[in-house]
Amino acid sequence: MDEFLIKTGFALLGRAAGAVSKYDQDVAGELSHWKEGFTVKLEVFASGAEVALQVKNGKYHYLKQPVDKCDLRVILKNKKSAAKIILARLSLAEANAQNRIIIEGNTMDAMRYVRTMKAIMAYLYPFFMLRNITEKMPRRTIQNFKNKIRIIFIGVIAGKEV
Amino acid sequence: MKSFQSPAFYEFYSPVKILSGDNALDNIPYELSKKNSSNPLIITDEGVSKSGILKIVTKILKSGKIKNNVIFDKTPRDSSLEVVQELAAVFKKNKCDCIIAIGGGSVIDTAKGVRILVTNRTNNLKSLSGVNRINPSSVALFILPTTSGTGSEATQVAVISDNQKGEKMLFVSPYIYPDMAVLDPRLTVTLPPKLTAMTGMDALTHAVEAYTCTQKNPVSDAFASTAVKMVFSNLMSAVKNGSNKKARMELANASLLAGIAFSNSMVGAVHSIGHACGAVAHIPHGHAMSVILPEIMKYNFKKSSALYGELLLYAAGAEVYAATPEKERGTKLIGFINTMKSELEKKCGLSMLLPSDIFDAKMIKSVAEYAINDGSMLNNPLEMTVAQVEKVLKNCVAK
Ligand SMILES: [Fe+2]
Repeated sequence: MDEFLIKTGFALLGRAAGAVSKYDQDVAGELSHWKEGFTVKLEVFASGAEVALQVKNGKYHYLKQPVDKCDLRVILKNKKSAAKIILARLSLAEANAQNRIIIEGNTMDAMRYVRTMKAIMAYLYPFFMLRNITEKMPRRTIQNFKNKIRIIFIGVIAGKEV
Repeated sequence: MKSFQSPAFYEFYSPVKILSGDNALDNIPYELSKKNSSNPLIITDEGVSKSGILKIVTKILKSGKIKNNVIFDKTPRDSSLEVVQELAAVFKKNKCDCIIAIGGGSVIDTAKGVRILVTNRTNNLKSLSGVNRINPSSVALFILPTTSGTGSEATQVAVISDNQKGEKMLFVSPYIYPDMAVLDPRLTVTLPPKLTAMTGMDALTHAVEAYTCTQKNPVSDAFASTAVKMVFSNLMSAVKNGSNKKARMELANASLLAGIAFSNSMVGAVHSIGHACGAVAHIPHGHAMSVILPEIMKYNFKKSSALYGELLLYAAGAEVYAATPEKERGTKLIGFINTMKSELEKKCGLSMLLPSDIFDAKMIKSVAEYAINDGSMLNNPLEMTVAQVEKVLKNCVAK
């Protein structure tokens, strides 16, 4: 059950990432510090579940196939923690605080990655779920609402590269 | 008082053996033999060499039948890539089998860097920088700290400067922990008052941040709170009278305990901003810590006030703690830290503020932008934006 949940959740995160990095200026700003082809991977230890994102033209591009080489690797130590993250019961920052993840790479890159993932989740999840994983709720502006609709319909449901 | 809540999950690791007290140095030959090591590379700096400490150590090694040792006493103030590479070559050429570092933060970081290079069989140190990128080492690393503040003798962190590129490389890995931390009163009695004050404030900052940052846990709390008590009870005495061996040893232990604590529970925004002040404005680390600590405590107050309140017991003692209403304890701790800062300024000239001629609006912005990307920010109890860091920094600058 956890495995199915994690794989589905990771696929949703991957599909949303491209659209978020197109429509959200803060995320685009974070990615502008990374070189073309920079690859980040979130994976679950010994499960084969992973979501790898590569920077292409300043946006996140979801790599649907498993990747070996990456510039930043974030490993969740077990499936239970990964499931909690997918269900928005645990944030990546909290997972870090509880030693539930291992980071391999540069700490500045890890900071940027955590911020972009948080933004992606803010678009994907309803407000009541976000309360568990973020101190600052996203502002409820018309622009943010429009972005949310685009990201969910174009990125996640239609699965279109933007 | 709120009942203590352990985190849902935590890990704690500290593999460093501690030798602490009178004549601790004299046990080094025995401990080297237990590591099957007999040919050390000794890394130190000119200050240590001139102070006579190096002579004491080499004499002890000789008397313990450790005849071959290679000495390098030219470590610069900031550990540099060139020196690490040079020393890795010296280590290999002389077939050394262990490293003894005698000095402060820079010497210890250099020694950690040399061990990383000789273990990972590469000349490209940069490729190993970051988190969890290095391999376990069979080369024993003994640390003899001559300052009481960095805690580096008990941490899994090393910072090496790449002077050509003007950047600092950070290395974090459990394989960076030294094998042995040797605390002997002879190592720190010659430390000048201002440096004693700066490094002591660094140790206090490690302890306060370890006690309040996101990875805190019951084990790190025990180390951090004891360190707070030891700094408050001994820093002024050591600054006033450097030859007070008891105060020196207590401070050395405070630094070690705080190092063990923060190596597990991490540091937060004080260090992020302090690292930025060092990298962008070249402010000494201990000075930055001393100035920024109370301001960040005010910023974090709404999340951490109860924890600051708990630390008042260790900083001020049972009587003050009991006489202070629960809600006022956190604020009182900040007051105690500011009072100590003011006394240190009077006694040894450690300024309570950052210099206004360096910290203009442009510099404040550059430091703030650097700080929010520093890895320690991830562990601060509250998130910070560039604007919030700028506001904190403005309160830290002399008017
Ligand atoms: Fe520090």
